[in-house]
This record gives sequence, structure tokens and C-alpha cells, in this order.
Amino acid sequence: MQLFKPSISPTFRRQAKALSAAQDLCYLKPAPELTHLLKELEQPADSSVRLKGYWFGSLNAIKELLWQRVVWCSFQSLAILISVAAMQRLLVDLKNTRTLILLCLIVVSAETIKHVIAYYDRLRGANIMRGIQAHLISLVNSKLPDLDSESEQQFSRGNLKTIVSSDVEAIEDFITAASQTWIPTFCMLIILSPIIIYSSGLLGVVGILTALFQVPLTLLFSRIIARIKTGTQDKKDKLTTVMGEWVKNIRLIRFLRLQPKFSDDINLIMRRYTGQAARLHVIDCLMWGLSHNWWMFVLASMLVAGSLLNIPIELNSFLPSCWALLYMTSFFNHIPYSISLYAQATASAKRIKSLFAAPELSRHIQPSIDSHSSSGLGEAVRLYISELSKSYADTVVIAPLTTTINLRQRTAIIGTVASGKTTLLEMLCGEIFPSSGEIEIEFSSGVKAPLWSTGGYGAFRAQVAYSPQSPYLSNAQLHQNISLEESADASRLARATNLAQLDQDIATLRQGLNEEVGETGINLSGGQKQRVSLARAFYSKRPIFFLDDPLSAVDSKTEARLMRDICAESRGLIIISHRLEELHACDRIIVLEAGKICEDGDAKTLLQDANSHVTRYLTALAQKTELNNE
Amino acid sequence: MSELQKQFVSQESTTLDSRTLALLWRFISGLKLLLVFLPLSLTCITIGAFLPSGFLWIIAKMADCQSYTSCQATIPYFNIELTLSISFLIWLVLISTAIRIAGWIFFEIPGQLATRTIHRQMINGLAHTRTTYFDENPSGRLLNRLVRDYDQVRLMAVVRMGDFINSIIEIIAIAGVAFLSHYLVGILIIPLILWILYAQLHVSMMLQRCAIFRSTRIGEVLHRETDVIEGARTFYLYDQIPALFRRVRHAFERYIQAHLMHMRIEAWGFLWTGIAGTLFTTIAVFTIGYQTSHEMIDVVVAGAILTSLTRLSPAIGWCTWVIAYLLESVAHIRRVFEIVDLAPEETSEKAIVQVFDTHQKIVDPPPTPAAMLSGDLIFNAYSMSYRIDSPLILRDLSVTFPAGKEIGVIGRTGAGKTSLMQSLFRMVYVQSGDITIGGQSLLTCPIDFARSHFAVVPQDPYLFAGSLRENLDPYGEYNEAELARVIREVGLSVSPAFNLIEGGENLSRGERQLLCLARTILGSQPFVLMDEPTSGVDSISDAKIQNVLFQVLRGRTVITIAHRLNTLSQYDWIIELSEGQLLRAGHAQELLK
Repeated sequence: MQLFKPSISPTFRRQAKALSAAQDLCYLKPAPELTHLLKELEQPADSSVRLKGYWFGSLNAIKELLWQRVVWCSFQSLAILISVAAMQRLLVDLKNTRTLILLCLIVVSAETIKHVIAYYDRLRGANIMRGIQAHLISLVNSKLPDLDSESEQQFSRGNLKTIVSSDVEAIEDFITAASQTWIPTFCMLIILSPIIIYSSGLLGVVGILTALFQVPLTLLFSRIIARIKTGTQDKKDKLTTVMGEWVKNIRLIRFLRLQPKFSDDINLIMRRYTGQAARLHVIDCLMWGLSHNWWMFVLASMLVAGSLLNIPIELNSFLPSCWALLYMTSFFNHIPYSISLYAQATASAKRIKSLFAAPELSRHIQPSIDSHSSSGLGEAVRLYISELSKSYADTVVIAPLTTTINLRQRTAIIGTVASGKTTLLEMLCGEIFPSSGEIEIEFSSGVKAPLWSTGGYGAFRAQVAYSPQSPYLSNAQLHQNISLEESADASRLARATNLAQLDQDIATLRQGLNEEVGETGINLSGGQKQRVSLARAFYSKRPIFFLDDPLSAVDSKTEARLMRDICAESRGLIIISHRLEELHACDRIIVLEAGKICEDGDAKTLLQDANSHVTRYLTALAQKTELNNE
Repeated sequence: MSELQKQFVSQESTTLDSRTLALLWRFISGLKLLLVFLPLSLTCITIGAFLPSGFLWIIAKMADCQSYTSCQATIPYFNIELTLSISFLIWLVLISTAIRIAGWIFFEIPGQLATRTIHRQMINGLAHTRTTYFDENPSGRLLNRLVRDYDQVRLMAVVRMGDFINSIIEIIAIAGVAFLSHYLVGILIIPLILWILYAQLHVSMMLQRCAIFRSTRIGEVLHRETDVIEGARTFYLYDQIPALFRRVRHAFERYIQAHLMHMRIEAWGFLWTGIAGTLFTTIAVFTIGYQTSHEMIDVVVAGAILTSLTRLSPAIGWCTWVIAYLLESVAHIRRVFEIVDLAPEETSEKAIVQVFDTHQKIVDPPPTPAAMLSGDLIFNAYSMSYRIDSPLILRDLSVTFPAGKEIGVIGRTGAGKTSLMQSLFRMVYVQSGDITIGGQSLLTCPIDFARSHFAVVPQDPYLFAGSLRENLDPYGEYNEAELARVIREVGLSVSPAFNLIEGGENLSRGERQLLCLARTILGSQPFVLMDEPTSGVDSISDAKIQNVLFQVLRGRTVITIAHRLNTLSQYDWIIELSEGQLLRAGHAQELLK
């Protein structure tokens, strides 16, 4: 693969050519501080660090980079100082050509140093910006996996995506802009002001103050612009609505021959919108013009002050302070921009902070009284469920329920829609915390431990492979979706795909196991997605399978083979299912209705009994399917 | 990088070729209003750029004669006598600022307003392009073109062009003052500006290409973040959170690489244009120093030139920045013109590959016949598909719709019932055959004329946001009494002033369906096409609809599409389609047996 390697030499045409031919970019070494922050992405900080460290913490994280910037900016100001001094000498008492050449050399080197420093400072700026981003993302990431599913109402997925992308970006933009403008400003003020004041006295002070006055002035302007712009936003929204209605209903509009009306409407609203936007743009021009010419006001203010206060001026001392002030003013131009980013950044910080304050699922895990090491507990044998219930707001999903499930058996859970099957299964594997009641696990060592205890939770879950009804697929390659690792163990992978009956499907994919499955697995069919999820279970080699209607979208031939594999590979199984084939393979059937167990017993007996709930339910289901097919 | 992304990168790679320049030229020459204001604006910009140099000379002069009030001065090289004072100075500052602002306003405001023409052309382009274009391009993308890309063109393209001109003139004005020390120094501005242009145009191309790498890599980061947001519990269950975070880091690092490269290229441009500026400054400083020491030049003029030169570096920085991002606007301009240049639907409905040039006028439409066509509607060995290369939906279909009758069309899903309707409206690719009304081909007459024969009651009765009157009578052709009559005829009692929300959701489905029928009654089209008019409608509305069909619309040819035959038992003639071909046709009663 052709890489692009940049070089610092001025070979513009050659490099542009090289980049346009390149397939990828060469590796640029990030600043060491940034490398450190990148490591954070891999091992995110724990929650205690998180809460105090999102705002100043991010500044703290890049403090070395910031300090370096201070040092470089000071050097830059010094370079300006030297070049100003050299030019001043040049103007006053020049004796011979040798001094002239020397002074010119000083000017050229000072100016060049200034540009070289600016070059490195830009690179540093890029590092700072991404460093903050890495830090903030790692903080957010450390929270996300442990977010209690019940706070999903507060933080929808779209919400979380906004936090990860635009909120993090808003904070990062502000800090970057602030560091980019405030640090040079302070350095200049500290290093150049004494010289200005030294050479021009009170006039120098007036000049500096006038230069700084630009900041409140531009802020005022941007306030005004922001206020008026809300009006154009309304027009723009209206425009988008009309155009949306047009584009989405183009057939209907052509059927009804409404096109001329829509064209006219859109053009009219567009006319109004652009007209208003153009009028507003006049204020923008006014602001830019003022800030662009502000240096004239600065120099003029010195003379005005001089004439009012009757302070004499002299060319030799006045000009150098003019030069220094001009340099300073050109840096002040960017301050208002950085301030304008502050409001957005605080709003974003607030959202991130509320995310950090949201409850975590792991808070439910109580420390065990007797501290068994989780490795010595042995395999999970039985689940003791007592008075287990779950309700959301005022709807009861699972009414208090007591039973024991043998994890060396195969148990099926069946029930109508909204009978609480999935909720029960998710509670059993510790994905959601029950409203009341308890689940206890008996291990083969004879120890009984609550599921939600430090001893029980990890030890039990390490033995469970859970496949949800609609499994999550990541926008990555197929093998990464099965192993959930960057690169999978080949033989384990082959075995897993074989067991999950995926081999035939893989053969049809152009890239085989390396096929990109697309966002949420869009390139795979529903049945394929379910089998990928099963392949995860097989790949994990965990002994207990919790499967939530795993074969609903799989054809009957494959289904039989899959069920055989599932039974062969798992020591214990809890399966939610409606299919006769799957129920026959089970030892026990639990029928749920409205969150209660309405039937529970040996699978064979129940399936043979024509009056059992199971048989009646299955018959009703079969009739319904037939009706649908017709 | 996946194969797809590579393709994307190579497609989007931008080089500074003649097409880019042609596109920019097409854009600029299209801004008529801007061209009118351009001389005025350029004059303001030039004066606004040169006045500061005079200002600097006056300041230096006042400092030199150590007086704020009465400093007699002769403007060098012009020999004009002046009495300098503070008020003069203040006026100069205000005037030069005002002129600068005026220069900006005269460029950017007409420029923005002139882009309206482009938006009108976009709307026009979309309004007349083939209907299937809207199936191939999701509405979100089209809206992005119409709103976001256009906004970028309206604002950023114009502003950047203005800034580009401004910054070049500014450099000339600042460095041009060095002319006063020696003409050779002045001439050096030309290589300086050429170098900046040469370097930055290359940098601009590189930045654009780098931005493509960066955006695909941001995409990778966002995919991994989606994993963390939506799939974290899955990864957690299988103890793979560390692996997930490793991948997050990996994606982020790749993204950072692209970003660092982007910043590096940008900084690289700034460095070399800056150094070129420094060289120029040094030569000027040397000349001035030499001339001052030999008393060849007034110390005031020398001071003014030196002060002017300190402003060169920011001006070069500005110019560098503007050029670096100037070509970014070209990408938006390109997308906008893609919409403007869409081929009209007449040229693309036949399945013949049309090679067309964007500047070539499309062939004149055929003349509109004097009167509406009348007679039987006949499909003659007609085949169509929704894309040029997709399978045929109607295959070699030959069928007659007798004029003035109520005709039902039935068939299973996918039989081609809806395609029939789309074919009449010429929204598909005609692969072969013809459709005629009374022997006249529908496919050769102007498309608007062809469509004016048909009224439609769609399956989903959609009404647009606005008053009921606007929906029934969008062009204001009917009076109050006529509107009231048709509303009464469909059995409703809604006022024409009734305000509908988007989709007409504040009325029931049945009412909406009846209003669609009212719209049909009002128009005088000889053919009425209906797609499942009674599906999902309450029984009262159903009865009203049947009444309208058999009483009010009698005399017109009504073609109704339905799933089941039994809803069409009262119809005169039934046509059954299967897999795009005629299965059977006959009287309803015959077919029901």
C-alpha cells in the first residue's frame, strides 16, 4: 500500500502528487503526552476519578502540553521583541554597512524563528485538541458499559451519541481555542507591555488598553448577531419543512400536478430567508471591518491621548511601541471567538456531568459476607429464585415468583407476548436488577451465593452465554462480531461457525469471515444475525446457555441441527421458545402468563397432555400462523 | 481501510484540474448581481487597503515634528501641502474603516443575493428530473444538498472569494509601500504573491484529500463508540470490554494520525509562506536601512514603511488560510451543480442511454395537442422497469381500458397494479411498447399534457399543510360556491378555510379520502385512478365513497386498483394482472363465477 510521508521541505507540487496517489498516511509520532492519554482510552479511569476530573481534569491531563505552549509563546514574543529592537536601531543611529547587515540578519533570524515556533505550536495545538478529546471520551467510555439500563429513559442512545460526539467536541473546541488565544495573549502582554510602556510611557498604556477594548466590543457584536439570528433560524426551519414535504412526496405532487405551486412556495420562502440573512450579514461585515482596522484605532488613540494630556511624542520611541502594538493586536483578534465557545462548552459539560451522576448497575452488587475466591466455587448447579419481581413505574412485569431451576437441565420458558419472559431471563443472568426478591446460585462446591454479590456475580456470569432476542451487531468484520476480539482464534472460530450453522452463509459472502456486516449488521439477514449471536455463545465455550427465542427467524431444517448443537454444547440451558422442535429437546417447561407462572412441569408430560396450557397455547399459535399465511 | 472506503477516497480525490477551475468560473460568472457591484467593491477594497499606509505616514510625521495640532507636511512623491491635526487623523481612521466595510458589503451582500438564482436552478432541476431519482437518493441527502450545501455556497464560497481578493490586495498594498524605498523592492511583491498562490493551492488540494482520510477515520471511531453505547452489555457479558477499549483506542489513534497529518500540512503551508514573507521584509528593511544611513530617504517615510511591513506577516497568514480552505467550497459548489444539471425526465424515461452535455440545450418538447385526448386507453405490448437495468415489472402488456366505464384492476402483490398507474404518469423506464388514448400515443406528447388526463386518489390519503382551500384548489381557479359544492357532494361539512397540519393528520382517514375525492371531482380530468380507496376506512366513509364513485363521477373513466375482486362487484369491467401480464379480463359477475 502506498503511504504518504510528509517532508518539511518546500516541495509542494511533488508532495501534493504523492498524497493524491497515496492509499494511506504514514505514521506520525504523536506527542508523548498524547500517547499517554491514548493509553487512557484502553484503561479508563474508575468512577471516583471521573466525577472530579472532567473539566479541570482535562486541563490537568494536558498540563505539560500547555506549559510547553507557554514556553514557546514566550520565545515567540521574545523574537518579536528582538526584531522590533533591531528595526529601531536601524532607523536611528546607523553608522556603517556592517551594522546594517548585522541588524538585517537579526531581523531575518528573529522572524524565521517566529515562524518555526508557530509551525511547532500548530502541531502542538493539534495534539492538545485530540488529547482533550481522548481524555473526555475515555471518561465517558468508562461509564457507559456500567450504565443501569433503567436510566435509558434519561439517556437515549441518540442522547449518548450526542454526548460522545458533539458535547465532547464542544468542550474540546473551547479549551483548544482558549489555549490557542489566551496563552499567546498573556505571553505578549507580559513580555511586550513593559517595552511599550518603557518607550512610550502613558501613551503605551492607552494603546494597550485600546487594543484590549476590542474584546468587549466584538463580544457585544456577536451577542447582537446571535440574538437576531434566532429569527432567521425560524425561516430556515420553515424552509427545511417545506422542502422536506416536497422531496418526500414527489410522486403525489406529480400525480396532483402541484409542482409549480411548490416551486413558487420554496422560492418565495428562500427569497425571504436569504434576504434576511444578507441583511444580517451587514452586521458581520461591520464587525470584521472594525476588528480588521482596529490597529488604526489603537495608534490613533495614543495620539489623541497625547494631545489631550499634552504628553510629548518622539519618533524614535513612538515607532517601536507602534510595532509591538501591531503584533499584539493581530493576536487579540481571536479572543472573542474563544469566549463565544464558552456557553456551548458549559452546556455540554453539564450534560456530561449528569451522565456521570447517573446510577450504575454495579452499585447493586453487595460485598459477600464470606469471601470465597470466585475460582474455587466450581460450576453453577442451581438457581434458587425467591419472591422475585420486577416492575417499571406502575406496570408489573413479573409478579413475585418463587422457583428453583436446575442448571444441569434444559428449561424452556414459554408465554404470550408481554408475559415477562425476556425480563425474567435478563434478571436470571444479571442484566437487570430485580425490584424485589432474590436469586441465589448454588455452586458445585456446595457454596450458595446471591447473584448480586461480589462472589456470585462474576463467578456465575463467567459461565453464562446469553443470546438476546435481537442481538447487537457491531459495525465491524464478521469474525470480530463472533469473537468480540480484534482478531479471533482461528480454530475456535471455525468450530463456532460450524456449530452455529453459519458455514454456508459465510461461503456466499464475498469476504467470508472478513465481511463487513455494516451498521447493526444491516448486511445480514435476521436469521443470520441470530446465528452470529449463537456463534458468540459457542465461541465463548461457556457451559450454560441463556437463549431468548434464538431461532425465530431460522428455517426448520437449520433449526433442528442448531438445536442438536446447542444441546450437545451446553451443560445447562434456559431457552425462551415457541417451537415444538425446541420444546421437545427440553426437560422442563415453565409457562408464564402476565408475569406469573401458570404452569410448570416435565416437558414430555406437558406436551402429551392435550389439556395442558402448553398444548393449548401451541395449538392457538399454530392456528394464528396459518391465518397469517393465508 | 475497507475496499469500499478506498474506492470512496479515490473517487473523491481532488486535483487542481481544469474542471475545478471551470466549475469555479461557472459559479462566479453565474453571480450576475455580484458582477454588477464588482467594480465598486474592488475600488473600495483597494482604497481601503492603501489608506492605512497614508495613515502610518501621518502618524510618523506627527511624531517626528512632535506636534499634535499644527504640523505642516508635504506628501512625498505627490507634493501636496497638508496641515496635520488630530481631527484630521480621526477622520482618516473613520473613513478608511468605513471604506473597508463598504468594500466587504458591496462584495458579499450582492454575492449572497446572487446565489438565489442557483437555488432556483436547483429547485428547477429537481422539479423536472425523473421520479425514480428520488427513490435512488434518500430524502435526507437531497435535503442536505438543498439546505446545507447551498448554505455553504451562499455563505462560505462567497465570503472566501471575497476574503481571497481582499487578502491579495492587502498584501499588495502593504508590500507595495516598499516601492517608495526602491522600485526593485516593490517589484519583488510579484514573486512573493506567486509563491503564496503556488504553495497554498497545492496545500489546499492536500488538505481536502487529507480531510477525506480523516472523515472515514472519524467514522471508524464513531462505529466503536456505537459499540460502547449500544453493545457494551454484550461485550461485558463475554468479558471483552478490554478488547473493545483496545479497538476504541486503535480507531482513535488512526483518526489522530489523519488529524495530525492535516494539521501538519496546514502548518507547513503557513511556515513556507511566512518565510517567503520574512525574506521579502528583510530585503525591504535592508534597502530602507541603507537609504536612511545614506540620507537618501526621509526618516519619516522610512518609519512609515517599516511600520507597514510589520503588518505583512498577519496579512500573509490571512491569505494563506483563505486559500487553504478556498477549494473546500468547490466540493459544495460541485454538489450543488450536480442538482442543477439533472436531466429532465423526458430525456431519461426511455431506456436508451442518453449522453448529455451539461451546457447543451435539451431537445425541444413536442408541441402540445390542442384538445384533451379522448377514447379508449390502450396498453400496447408495453414493458417497463424502475431502473434501466432492473427486471421488468410490466412485461409485454397489452390491455384495453374502455372509455367512460368503471374498471377494476386486481392482482396479487407484485402483479404490477401500482406500476400501471406510474406508467400512465410516465414515472418509469419504458423498455418497449406504447400507451395510447384514442389512438394518440401518450408517450410522445409533452409530459405535463400527458399527466393532465389523470386524476389520482392515492392509497394513503395525504393532504398538505395549509388550508383546505389550498389543497383542493392550489392555483385559485374555483370560486367559493364551487368549493362548497364539491365538499357537499362527498358528504362532508368542512369549511374550505379549515387548516390542515402536515399530512392532514387532524382529519380521520375516511375524511381525508373523501377530500381527495373532492379534489378529483373539482378537476375535469377524463380518467380517475384510485388505489385501494376504501382500505382502512370506516363504514360510513366507505358508503360515501361508493356513492361518489357511482353517482358523481359517472361519465368519467374510473380505474380502481384493489386486492380482492369482491370489493369491485359493481364495476363494469375487471382486469386481472399477474406477474406484469394480463391474466384475464371481463365483467365482474362473469369473473366472480
